[in-house]
Amino acid sequence: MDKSTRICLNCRHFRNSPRYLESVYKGLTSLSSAYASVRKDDGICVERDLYLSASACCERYAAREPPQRTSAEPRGTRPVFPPSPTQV
Amino acid sequence: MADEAARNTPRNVMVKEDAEALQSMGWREIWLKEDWWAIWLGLGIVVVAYLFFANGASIKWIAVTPGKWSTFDQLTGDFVSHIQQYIAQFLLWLVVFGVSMRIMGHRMTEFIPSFLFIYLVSIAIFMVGAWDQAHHYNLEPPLVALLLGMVISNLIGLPRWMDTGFRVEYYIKVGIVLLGATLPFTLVIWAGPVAIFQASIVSITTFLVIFLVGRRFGLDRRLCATLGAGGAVCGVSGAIAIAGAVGAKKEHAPIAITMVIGWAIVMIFFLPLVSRELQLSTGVAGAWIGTSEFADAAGFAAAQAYGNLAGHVPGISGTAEQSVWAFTLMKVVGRDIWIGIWAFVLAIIATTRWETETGGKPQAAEIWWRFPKFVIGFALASILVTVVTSGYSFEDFNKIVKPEFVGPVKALRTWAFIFCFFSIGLTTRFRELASASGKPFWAFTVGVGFNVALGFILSAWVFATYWSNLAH
Repeated sequence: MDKSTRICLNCRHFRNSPRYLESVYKGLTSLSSAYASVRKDDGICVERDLYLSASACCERYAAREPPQRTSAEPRGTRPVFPPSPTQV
Repeated sequence: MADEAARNTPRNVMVKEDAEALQSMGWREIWLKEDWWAIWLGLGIVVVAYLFFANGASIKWIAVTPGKWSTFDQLTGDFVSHIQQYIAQFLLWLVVFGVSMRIMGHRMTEFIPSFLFIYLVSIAIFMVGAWDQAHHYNLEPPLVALLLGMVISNLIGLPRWMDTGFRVEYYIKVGIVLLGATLPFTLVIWAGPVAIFQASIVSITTFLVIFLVGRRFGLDRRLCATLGAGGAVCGVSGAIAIAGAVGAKKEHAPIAITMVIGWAIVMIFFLPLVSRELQLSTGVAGAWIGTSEFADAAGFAAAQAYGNLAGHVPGISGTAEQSVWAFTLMKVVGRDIWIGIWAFVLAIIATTRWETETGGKPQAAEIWWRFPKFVIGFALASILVTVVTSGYSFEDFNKIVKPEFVGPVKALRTWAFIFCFFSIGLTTRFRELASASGKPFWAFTVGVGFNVALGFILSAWVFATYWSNLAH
């Protein structure tokens, strides 16, 4: 993987789904939204505890595994989320 | 807990939703972000309304709102006689919001019942506002919606899955696009530069005050920038945009969120109250709210609440629309649209001058991708209506266009706003907000003080004549 793809977007430590961010950041939906354009692709690095742009990079980059589906999950099933946190 | 769960997810399994989100959204945001859906829905409603009007018809049948009443018999009689329209309108909102929400990834089993709850209570809130004694008891619908929502969420509680229907930002963006249809584009051209000039003075000053006071307290630069954007640019949205742009610590955004929410709710009540005491005209008050409120949703609540006093409270001149127009020009045109530039500039500063833990060169394209796209819908709606109604005289506009075309669009806009205000209250759970005391609190609060004072000076003194005379 060349350097231009070694960015947070492709890193296994990066989380930027809107539902995840809204579950982590309590109060975000009171006056804003993770589905807003202003957020672009920003997300949380669970390795470094940073909230940053998907185009950022660092030396702790670790390539993300391609997504897999278990045999119990036929196509078209609902997405499965990690348990939602109650506090940041 | 989310991080722990994320770390505990086996290496070779990624949750499907994370995988879908991981692709850089790029132009897929056209069907995956609320801003774009606000354009499609809002502009769609305006276009349909115009097509009906151009063919001698009107959408007013479905744009029903409770009529003025003074007795319960009048209230119930009016509701029963229009019940079919309410049902049709509910189905319209359910379909347009439901389809878009589904495409964005929300669950319909959660959204449908949640939105039914929103709609039914909104009818009640509307009815309260239509009471002929409502102004006497300060029962302005935006404030009633907000307070009722906060009482329910903080004292009673609702199942968390119902949050799916409480989409504050989505409803307000649809409302703002519909607002464009009632705001002449000629006014945007005429008043826009002044709004941008005044808002820029206040925004830059407020940001610098918060940033420098925060630095004086020894706070992290990234936190200072995040707080500054929250207080100076566009509230929570500004805070998360800047937090991402400068690579803030994960806990910085929640601190800014708490500060913005707290002060935004205070300002919803404080600004209209003080404006009323000072008997500011609706245009001046709207401009002041536009510089000194932190979020679009909160600001519209304040501006609409104050505008509703016009004609009911002695000494308050102007019209209800002037308050909303002035607010929109100041907040949306003067502040919101510049967030991409703020993010780009601060990203450059962060990567070149601050000690950051991550790299990456900011791209100018940031300015576009972070641009609040719903403003495009607002502008297009304004241009469309301005062009198609340009041939009407002032008298004919009021006699024909308003009741058959613009009026129904405005009614639907008011519905969207009520959905928004009620949702603000329902999603504001004070116990869940991150702690934000001590230095961040004081840095932000000093900025609020400067913001409110400077905004008042510019709105009520320097440019008072200008804002008092916003006209069609």
